Amino acid sequence: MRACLLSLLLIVAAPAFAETHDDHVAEAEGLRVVHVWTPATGKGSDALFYMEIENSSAAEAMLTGGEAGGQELELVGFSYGAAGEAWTVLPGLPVPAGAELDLEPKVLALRWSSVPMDLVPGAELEIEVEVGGQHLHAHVEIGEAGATGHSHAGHNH
Amino acid sequence: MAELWAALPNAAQDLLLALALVAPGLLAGALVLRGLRPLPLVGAMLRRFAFVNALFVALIAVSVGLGVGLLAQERGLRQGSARAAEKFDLIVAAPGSEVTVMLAAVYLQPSDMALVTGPQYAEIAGAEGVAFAAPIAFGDSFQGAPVVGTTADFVTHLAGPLAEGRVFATSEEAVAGAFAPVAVGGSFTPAHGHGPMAEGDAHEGSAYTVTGRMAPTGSPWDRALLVPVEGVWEVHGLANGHAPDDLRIGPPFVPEMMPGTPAVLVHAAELWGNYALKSRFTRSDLMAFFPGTVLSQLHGLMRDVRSAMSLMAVLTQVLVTLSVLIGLMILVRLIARSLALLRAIGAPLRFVFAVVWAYSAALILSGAGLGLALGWGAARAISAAVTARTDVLVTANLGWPEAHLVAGFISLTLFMALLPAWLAVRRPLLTDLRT
Amino acid sequence: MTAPALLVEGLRVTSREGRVLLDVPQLALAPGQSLALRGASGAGKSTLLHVLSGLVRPTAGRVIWGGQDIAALTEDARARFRRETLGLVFQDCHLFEELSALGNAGLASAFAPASERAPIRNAAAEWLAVLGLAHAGARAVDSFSGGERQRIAVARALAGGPPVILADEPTAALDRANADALGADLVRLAAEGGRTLIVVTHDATLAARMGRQLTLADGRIVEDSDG
Repeated sequence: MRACLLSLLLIVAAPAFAETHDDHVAEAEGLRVVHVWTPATGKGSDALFYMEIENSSAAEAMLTGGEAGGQELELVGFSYGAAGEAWTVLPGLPVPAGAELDLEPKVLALRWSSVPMDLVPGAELEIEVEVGGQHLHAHVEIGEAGATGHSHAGHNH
Repeated sequence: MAELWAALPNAAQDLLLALALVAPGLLAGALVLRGLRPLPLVGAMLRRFAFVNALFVALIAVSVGLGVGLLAQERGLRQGSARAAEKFDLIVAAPGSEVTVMLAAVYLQPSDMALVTGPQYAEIAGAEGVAFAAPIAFGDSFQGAPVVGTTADFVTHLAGPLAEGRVFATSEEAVAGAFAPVAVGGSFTPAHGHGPMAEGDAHEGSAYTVTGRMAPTGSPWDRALLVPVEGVWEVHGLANGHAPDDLRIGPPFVPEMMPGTPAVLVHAAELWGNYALKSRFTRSDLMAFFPGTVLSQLHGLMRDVRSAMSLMAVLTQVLVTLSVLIGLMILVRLIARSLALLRAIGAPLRFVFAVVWAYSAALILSGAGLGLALGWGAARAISAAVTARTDVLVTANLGWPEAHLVAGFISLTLFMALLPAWLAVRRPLLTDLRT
Repeated sequence: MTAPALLVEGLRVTSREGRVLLDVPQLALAPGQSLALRGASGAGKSTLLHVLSGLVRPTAGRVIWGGQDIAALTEDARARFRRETLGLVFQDCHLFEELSALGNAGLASAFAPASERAPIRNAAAEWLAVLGLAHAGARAVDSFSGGERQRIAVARALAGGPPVILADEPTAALDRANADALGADLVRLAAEGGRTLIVVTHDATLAARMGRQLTLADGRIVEDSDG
């Protein structure tokens, strides 16, 4: 009986210690990754992932990159000049305690170079975001090719 | 194959594409002319109808020039405006329109806007990773040239070592842009405001002395007069950001003594620092953005316009090509008697075919070459006009997009020129001989 | 190349409307013979010359030069025959105004095989000299008189060394003196080279120089006399 109750308790309590995710929210240790999205991309092209990262913990967390399909995702920053658009790999970005970091088009993104398959709207995709030493599994919304934002951008969770 | 292509340098890809575009037409020509020598004869025939031929060449040249000039001009404008914004890493301002602030701070097209306060500036300048934070305080002008208050760090960051003289050291000194209307050693009194409504006597009694001149930047800053931000505040009768007994200029400022500034240019010590600072200062009371991002978005909006214009240029070329084709068929009638003579004295049909094709090819290639030159010239002229008007250095040079356009046009028309040649050899020999 | 014999059998040319333009059951010409084709306008003289030169394909019949029926050849093959065997002279010269005298005389070099180009140009220069136009090769043809232009055309016809010369009214546009001179030269040069010469002409003087005269009327040979 005691064992059963204990098991039940653990099962019920488990979400508090593990990641929780809505359809598009990944969370752990005070770190949340929400509204992960990417525009539709053809096989072989680079895919850019955008998201909002919230750090409600008491310590600064470093965003370093991610992983998808067994491949590394690079943190890249946008620049624009006479030579045109460029994405430069960044070693990492701090998310201060109590602050947010937005990865948005033509500013910051996680880049998956040469995706091994077509990313089409409506398809299922999950990536890992590496922030603050955590590997947060996040569901990705794949938008239309010219999309400029997540369908739920601006919503509170 | 796709991987091999992706691994090639851009220049190699462009070259291969140009060759691939022009290859069909050239291949057709090589097959037509194989083993034959029609060119001396073609030259004689071209001279006979010099005026008509010149008209054809001009028609082709204008259509090619239109497409070439359009592409080159648009790219020059896009690159010029992007180059002008390259030095502006991160701009922090009061919340509002990013485009408005960018136009004001980067392109010196000022508007009324709320100010970043002294305490806010102190927070920005003191943030971790900031190499410097330069106020950009516009609002005054002299003979149409903007007078902008800023710091010595900004001057050096924007234009590098001065072309002449030294940077300002007091609040009554100034540095002139490369083409500003005041020489080193000269003085000026700023007018309040810009344009025809500027109040020339608003700051009477105040004067700046120009101590140095910047090297050209290719931006509207080349016409500007840069003064210490303290000078702008003092000229407007405000506190100058420092304690009364502090005679120096430049940061750090006393937050309570700092009247505020419309924009702050932030330069981080590390590249990644700009992104972190952008995130930090995007909040309810401040706005931080990358001018490059905003400009890229604006250029993206213009891309649809550019596509429509490119389509029009291509359509024009197709129409001209069809016109040239019809014209060539008419032209064949002009030279039909000569072609009949050739056939009568034993020229093979393939030779007569080659004569007509080579005739057409001479017109097409001459027109395309002239069109390239025309388009380049037109783009240069328009760029010079735009540069003079906006102070943004726009240079239009021929690039691979133009080469691809011309290569495709040449190939298509050389291929289509096979048709009049084929029709020419099907004409009734005796009828033409008797004409 | 020795002149080929000519044999015409069952030759008929009819118009699209069915009108008989030419009806020659038989005609034979020995190698090196000279022949004048005479008759009123519309008699079929030029039509016969065009068929003999392969410029026109007959409706029926055979035109055999040296054992080869050119009426059965393709257009390209007939062009090749003309290039290798015939020299053509037209009434109005048909010169390229933008070329020089030598350029016109050596016109065939433009489409000759590579090995023949230089010899043709050299021969053209020689023929211009023979025809009294030495040292004039570089001049534009529009600077020449009518008689000189026709001589350039004759030089062009001879430059390829053809064994047969066909001339359609070669002296019609010339004054009497030039016509006589050109006619005499044409006959002489043909005879010297053992060339067959067929001339369509209204010029009685020129016709009298030929070894044989055929008179046509309504597309048929009505008189065949040896001169």
